[in-house]
Formats: sequence, C-alpha cells, structure tokens
Amino acid sequence: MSAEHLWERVRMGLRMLALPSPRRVQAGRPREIPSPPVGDAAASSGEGLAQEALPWLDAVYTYALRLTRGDRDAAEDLAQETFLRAHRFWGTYERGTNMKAWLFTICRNTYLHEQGRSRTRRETTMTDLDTSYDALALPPDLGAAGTDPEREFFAGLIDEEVVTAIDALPEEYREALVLSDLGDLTYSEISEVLGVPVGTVKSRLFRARRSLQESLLEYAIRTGVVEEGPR
Amino acid sequence: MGRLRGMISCEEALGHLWELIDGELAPEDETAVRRHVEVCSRCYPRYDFQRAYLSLLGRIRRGEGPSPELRRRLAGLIPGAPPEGHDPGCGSDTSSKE
Repeated sequence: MSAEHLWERVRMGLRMLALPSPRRVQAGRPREIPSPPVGDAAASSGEGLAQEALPWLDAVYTYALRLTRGDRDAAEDLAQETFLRAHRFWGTYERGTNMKAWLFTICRNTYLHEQGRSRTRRETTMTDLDTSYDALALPPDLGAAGTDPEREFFAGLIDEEVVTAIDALPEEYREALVLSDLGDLTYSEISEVLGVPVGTVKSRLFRARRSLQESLLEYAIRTGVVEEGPR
Repeated sequence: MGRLRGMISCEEALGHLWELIDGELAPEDETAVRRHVEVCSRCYPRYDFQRAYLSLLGRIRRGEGPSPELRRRLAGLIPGAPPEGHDPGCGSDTSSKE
C-alpha cells in the first residue's frame, strides 16, 4: 500500500471517529425524525445553521441523489441526515471556512458510513492515475457528426440518459464529476471533501468527463442523434 | 504561478482546456490558453463542446431538487429556517463554471 493510500485511510478513519454513531438511514417513508437539542445554545446553533447551511440544501440534495444513484427517498434521507449532523456538530464548524465543502464532506462521510464501505475495497477499482492530464483532457472525437456537432449532440440527449450514464461511472470518477460539474466545487474544495491531493482530483475528474462523454457519444450514435464518423 | 509562455501549441492548449473552463488556471496561463483557443480553428470547437457539456450538466442540476416535504421537515427541525416555499438562494445557484 502506498503512503498516499495509507494516509487516505487514516484521514477517513479520523473523519469517521469525529462523527457520532450513525443512526440508520432507511429508504422509504415514513421517517423517524429525531428532535434537535433544546435550549439557548441549540437555538443559536439552529439560527446559524439556518442562515449559513440551509441555503445549500439543493446542492447537498443533488450530491446525495447522485451518491445514491438516483434513489430519491434515500437521497432525501441522506440530505436530512447531513443537516441533522451539521446541526449537532455546528460548534465544530469554523466560521468563515467553506460551508459548502463542510456539508459535502458530512454528506459523503455519512453515505460511506451507511454503506459500510472500506477504502480498501474502493482502491481495487482504481486504475493508474499517473497518466498525463493532457491526454485525458481531450474530448471524444465527434468525427463527421454534422455541421454543428456540439449543439446537435447535446440537444439530442435526454436528461435521464445523461443521469444514467453518470450513475454508471465507477465511484471514484462519479464522485469527482458530481462534486465538480453538479456541485460546482473547485478542485481544492473537492480535494478537501475526498481527502485526496488536487492532482488526484484532476485525474479522476478528467477521466470521469472523458468516460461520460464517450458513453453519451455512444448513446447518441446508437439512437441516431449523430452519425458515426471515422474514429 | 504561470507556466505557459508566449504562443502555445494546440496540444498545450487542449491539455489545459478543462482547467480553463473550470477557472482553475493561474492568470498568466489562462491568458495564454484563452488567447490560443479563441482564435484556433482546431481548438475552438473542442472548447465550445466542453462548455456545452457543462451547460448540459447545469440543465440536469436545475431539474433536480428536494421535495417540499424535506424542506418542511428541516424547517421544523432547525430554528430560524425559512418557511416552506422560500427561495433557497445560493444553494440553487445555477451559474456555470465559466
């Protein structure tokens, strides 16, 4: 195991220890909603959270939805659990730091904890990440796809197909892509959420985009949205 | 710190295309890549393609949102939360990276 992977696992373990024993997040309704703490401190905590964290509910939900591969009930449970944990640990949040990245980190850690996943298992799906970014950044060749291939290509795609293609990505790629392209986080923020170096973030993100675009291109060719050109 | 100097090649420009679109290049590098891409007949379509890709993802993001019930539940749990139906503001930011 490389030093980087070892540190990744240590960081993950420390994060898990910083969180309380997870309550079971169950798919489906009705949900048992625990009461928040009471008293002045709780009220103050709640107001701060409401002002600073709740505006990110849509973004957290979108992230949760992709983590759960489109399961809306599970995503709502995960988003709710994220905000409940944020409420509980509001005192540990440093004012002025990145609220969005903090919430996304809680959301991801909650998801991973609920899944009972280990970094060891995740590592087995990693491919070599040392490939030059330059090669990864090249978009797929649209060939003779038409006079205005970009517009034609994207206009012909159905949102559900795009979401299906995102959900089919390997998890390391999917989470980098979702944090960047749906969550609008910077490379540095993604690095913070995933606990990996910025270089790894770029490598995963660029691979994810290329893989997704190739999947979408294959879909577009298969359904006649664009014609297949010389590859 | 900028690494790219003067006129850059198509390979160099394409190698930094996503960082350009993501707004992650140092100012000097951004200027060099943008100067190339904006006038290059080979690179511009790829630049345009990637911007269209991010617009597509933005469209998907706008199409997904939590249920009013979740908003209502959280509003009930967290003091000071805006009432149901309140514009969520920055959390629903739909601006693209560029």
